Amino acid sequence: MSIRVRFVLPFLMVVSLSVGASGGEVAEDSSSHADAGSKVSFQRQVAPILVARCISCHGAKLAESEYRLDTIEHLLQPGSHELVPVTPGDLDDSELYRLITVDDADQRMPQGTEPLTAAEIDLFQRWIEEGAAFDDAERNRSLVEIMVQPPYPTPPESYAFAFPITALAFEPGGSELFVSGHHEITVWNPVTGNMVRRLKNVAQRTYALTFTPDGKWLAVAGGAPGRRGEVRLINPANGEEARVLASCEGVMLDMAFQPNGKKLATAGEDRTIRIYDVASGSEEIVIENHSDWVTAVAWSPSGEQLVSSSRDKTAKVFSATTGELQVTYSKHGAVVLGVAYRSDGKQILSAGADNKIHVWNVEDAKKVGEISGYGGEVYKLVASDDQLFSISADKTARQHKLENLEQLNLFGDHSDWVYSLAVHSQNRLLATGCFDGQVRIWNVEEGKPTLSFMAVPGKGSE
Amino acid sequence: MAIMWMLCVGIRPAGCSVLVRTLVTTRRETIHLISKHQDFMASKPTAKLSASFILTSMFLVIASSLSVWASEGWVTIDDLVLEPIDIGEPIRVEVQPSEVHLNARRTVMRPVVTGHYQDEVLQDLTRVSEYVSSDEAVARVEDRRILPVGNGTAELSVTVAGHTVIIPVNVKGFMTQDPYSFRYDTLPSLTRNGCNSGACHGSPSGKGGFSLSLLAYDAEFDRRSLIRESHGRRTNVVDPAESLLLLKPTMQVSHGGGLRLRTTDPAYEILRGWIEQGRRGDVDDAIQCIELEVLPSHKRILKRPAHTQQLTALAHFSDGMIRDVTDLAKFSSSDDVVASVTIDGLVVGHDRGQAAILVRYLEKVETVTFTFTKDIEGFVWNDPPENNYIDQLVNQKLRQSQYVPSDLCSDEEFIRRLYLDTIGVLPAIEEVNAFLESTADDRRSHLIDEVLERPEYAKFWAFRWADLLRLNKDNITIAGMHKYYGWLVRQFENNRPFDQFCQTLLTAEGSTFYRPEANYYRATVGAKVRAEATAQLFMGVRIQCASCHNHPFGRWTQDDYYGIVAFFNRINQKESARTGEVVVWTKRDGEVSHPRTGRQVKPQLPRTGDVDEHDGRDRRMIFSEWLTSADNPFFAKVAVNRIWAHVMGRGIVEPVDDFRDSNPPSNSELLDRLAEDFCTSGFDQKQILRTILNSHTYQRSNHTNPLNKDDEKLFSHARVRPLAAEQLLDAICHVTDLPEQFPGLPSGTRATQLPGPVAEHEFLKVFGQPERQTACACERSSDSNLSQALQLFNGTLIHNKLRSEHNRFRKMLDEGKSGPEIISQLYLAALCRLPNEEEVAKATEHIAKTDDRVAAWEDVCWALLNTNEFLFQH
Repeated sequence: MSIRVRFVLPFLMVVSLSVGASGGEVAEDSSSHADAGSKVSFQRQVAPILVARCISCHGAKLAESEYRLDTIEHLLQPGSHELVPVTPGDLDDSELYRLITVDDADQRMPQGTEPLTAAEIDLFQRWIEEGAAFDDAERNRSLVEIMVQPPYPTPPESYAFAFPITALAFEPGGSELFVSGHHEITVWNPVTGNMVRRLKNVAQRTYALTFTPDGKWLAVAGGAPGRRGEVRLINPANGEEARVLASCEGVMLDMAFQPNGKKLATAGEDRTIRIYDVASGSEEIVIENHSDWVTAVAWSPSGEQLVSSSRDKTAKVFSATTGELQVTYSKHGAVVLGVAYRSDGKQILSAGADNKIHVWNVEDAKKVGEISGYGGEVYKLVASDDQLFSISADKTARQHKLENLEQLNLFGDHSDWVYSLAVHSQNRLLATGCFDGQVRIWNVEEGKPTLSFMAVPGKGSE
Repeated sequence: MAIMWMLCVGIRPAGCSVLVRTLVTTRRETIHLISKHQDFMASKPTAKLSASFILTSMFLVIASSLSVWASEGWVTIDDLVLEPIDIGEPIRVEVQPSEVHLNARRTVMRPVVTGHYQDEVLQDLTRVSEYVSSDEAVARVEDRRILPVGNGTAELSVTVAGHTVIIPVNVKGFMTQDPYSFRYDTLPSLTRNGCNSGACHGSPSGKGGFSLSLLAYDAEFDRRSLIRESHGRRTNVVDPAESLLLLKPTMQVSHGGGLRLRTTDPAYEILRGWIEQGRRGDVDDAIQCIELEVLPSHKRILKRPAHTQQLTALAHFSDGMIRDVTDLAKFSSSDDVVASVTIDGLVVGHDRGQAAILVRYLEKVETVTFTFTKDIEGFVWNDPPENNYIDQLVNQKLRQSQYVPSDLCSDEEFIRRLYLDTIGVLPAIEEVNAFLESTADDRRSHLIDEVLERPEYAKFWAFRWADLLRLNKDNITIAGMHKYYGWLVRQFENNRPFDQFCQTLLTAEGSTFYRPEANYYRATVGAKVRAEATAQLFMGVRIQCASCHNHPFGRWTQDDYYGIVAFFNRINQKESARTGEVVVWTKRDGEVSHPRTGRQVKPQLPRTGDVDEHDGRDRRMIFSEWLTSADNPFFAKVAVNRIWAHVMGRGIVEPVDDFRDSNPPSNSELLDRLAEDFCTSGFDQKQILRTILNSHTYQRSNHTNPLNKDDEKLFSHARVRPLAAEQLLDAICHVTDLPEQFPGLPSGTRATQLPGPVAEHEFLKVFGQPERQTACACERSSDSNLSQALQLFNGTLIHNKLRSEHNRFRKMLDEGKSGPEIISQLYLAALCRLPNEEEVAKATEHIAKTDDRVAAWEDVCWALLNTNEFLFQH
């Protein structure tokens, strides 16, 4: 296990973006964003190309020709050919440049696929000629983390096919429902089912949506599968004022704010749990303990502990202050997908591909109870007040009393696997989202649906 | 160490070994020397008697095939050396198919063009023909394939070597949508690129958290995995090219399996198009693929410079549609040394020999067998005598492949070979002398007749079958083992027709005391194991793979598997009040359910279909009648192949119980003819054995000539192989004239007549006596190892026999026999021949210069037992 505790400051990235309300344009070549007069930026312009086109073969997992460029430090080290990759100001002595421009397809990088575009090559040329500077970025951090994400492609005006609903969030007042889309968050009126607006410039997939505890920002966790993930804070009114709070290789699968709102914990495809200071944006702890994706994360009521679930078939409890492992629960014997604390903080509920929810002690990881009866994988768990909400591939959502695990409601009648949920306890509302793009709003007092709509622009109420 | 090597390897004839041993002072010292280095030595793969005799166990075959599976898939035309096509002057040019129907928008057709030359010589001309469409508005030609452009009719003219062949092209349904099918486009694309192979995502636990069913046998599972799992992250309907399913294998995103797909591959466009069209999972397609056809469909002989063949795979669907699926099928070669096949279906021969090209499209599997020949410098057919049809058919194949058969073996070699193969033991010295003295022309066939009537014949063949029928005391108790063995011996004594033998076993029931054959079911537990054992024993099919998934290298599906299991599902057994007695009986009901669909499976005969059960007969009867009928495609071939392999050292199909299209017989005409003869004779095993033993082929020398030294499969010379553990032990007892005493068995019982494995018999264990736990012939190991070398070198068994007061040479010494006389007797006993002058001289010299005369004789005898000539059947 390794814990990286960082008190080093801020790699806080505040990026102001000028995404118009119509947001019509697709991300252009990075080169066109650079002002003709200004120098090429490594973080903004060069690193994104390296991440998109190079690190799959020259990264930590696979270092072809013993050459890696997943960090600045690595990028500067020659591979087995022993030729200097980049010499500031000297194109002729920059092997990296030679390899992206050489005519011989057997030599040219990237191998076996399209060469870099002329604009991209031009960027490399200028960057090296201008001295190959690195914008003061941290030299031993992953390029995926230090790169500045260029604007994302715009979502389709109208979707040809339904898109799975993987994340939902109610606006704190309950008047709006935020729904995941493809490179966007759509906003819907939970009473009428009408789309209110679309928030663009977010990552391809969104796996978790939540408001900052002060209610000001919408946090969007997601990314492009297998590539890069992030947590981005956006203005829920117009999607502007983005601030990338966290990033990692692979997608961010879940996130949770500390009950007091000071910290954010993320769960990533890169097998890490990361804890950030929300105010400063600094990454404080990186927990590398799970051996596979971390699928979900939840804070203890006191805010001193975290529980995580993973595709490595375990759930684990960590100290939120030191990142140390406190206990491992491995009785699911299957992928664990959701976690929640009971209100006293002494017991944990975890759910997974064994189609069950297990209840176990934080202290000794002893199993003390279970909820069964699901006909498919159980995805997410949300503990709200004294109740537990769960969703499953068996096309149901369920509501249990946290105290005695008694089932209060079974929200059946879904048209497909239920992938996401959001609870608004004041308004006694539950929203559920399905694989087929359907969103349902339920009254949790009566256990009845109040509304059902297709939350995919252009798909109407199919 | 070097000394030991020479002994382990045992390369030298007797004389040298004598010299070698004299360099070693005492055995004790040598043991010390070896034990010090044992770990080191044991890890060396070179510690073998002879590497070429290792039979690979079935699991090794599967494991290695899987690794091949994993590494292949990227053979492209650029990787291979192609001879230019010498078009020459064909008499006739043939284009397949003879007409083209493009009945859907995405259909294409790649014709296969064949040149027919003098003397029935064929050559593939597909690559050098010109293709022209008569109407570009109907069909166009692109890269040797015809594509539809609009509805209507046109003609395709194919021109090569001055010949033009016109074939009609009919395009229909071009204006209708033709969306990708999940089952028939997406899944085969994954198979073709190796995604769902056993080494990758098709392994039971998947790879990197992504699981697919092995070779797409379970479409429902794959649908879930590709479309829904992990919140649908693998496919992206909005931006298909951003789908992980495409980014990973093209290495745009780091992929543990490396580059498996290029954006220019047909599979890329299919996967991308399928996602773009909404990645529908049309599992329950009403339209089914009912047949896979491969062009050319018949086996072909290609002679250098002709050595390539383009294949076209056609899928026939239940709605009458025929689609060219060459871009979707997966091609593999049964023997990559002989021929490779590219991912696009171009077969390229590398060397003389035969290779079966396996073409897979989902669960449909077809094979085409190619024989590659070439002119060999200096080849002149030596026209050996042909004693019967075996020689005719073997020679036909040899001549075609230009191998010159070896001459007949000597009489000395013959008598030793015949005895060991037929009755398991070495001939008595008197028998050897009598045979060697005979000058009659028919002395060999006379000896064959004689040996086949000896009592040891039945015991030895019962012993070989006892291996396969799992006769051991743990399975069926000591009493059961003796009774069952006795029953087996009686079958061979009476030369019971093999169909009756098999029927009796399969339908056995009752008390194992009175019906010992009921032990057939006692030795195997559970319907699945019984079905698997029966299939392997009598159908030569290793069907166990299909228990969990469709067979990766054959046409056996999971449905076939459970269809067979259903025949064995009602067998029950219970213990009676008498110790050791078990009663086998059948229930009236009980069904098998399919693990994937959960549905009940009806008994189903392979390649025949469901069985009508209205008369309520015992299902085993139905199965055994089908199995032993004269037209059963498996039964006779498997049986004669086993007999052939017993005496020839290698099956015509090898391994003997692994019949599948992708493992073709090395001489199918021979196998067919033997099987036919076997059926006609009323399944007379002794008769077929007699025919084989009388052939020139059987009686060939093991000495190769320059024109057949590379032949391993076509029987141009005898095959040298180590004696089986029990044969070796009997042979040592015979040479030393000191029988082994086995606990609980009458004295004089030979190792090759043991009813079951002897517990704790170190020597037999080391030399590969099987535990008899499986029905696989591979359980008897002929692997060689260091322990064997140690046994021969210094083992207590040989040591004690050499030191015994009563052994052959001590008795002769006591009788005052002369040195040369004793040497001759030892050679006759061990090798069925007299020593040559040099051998006599060396032995005499060694004895003369050694003070302890008895110890010197021990040395000589010991050296003889360590020669290749003794240790091997040849």
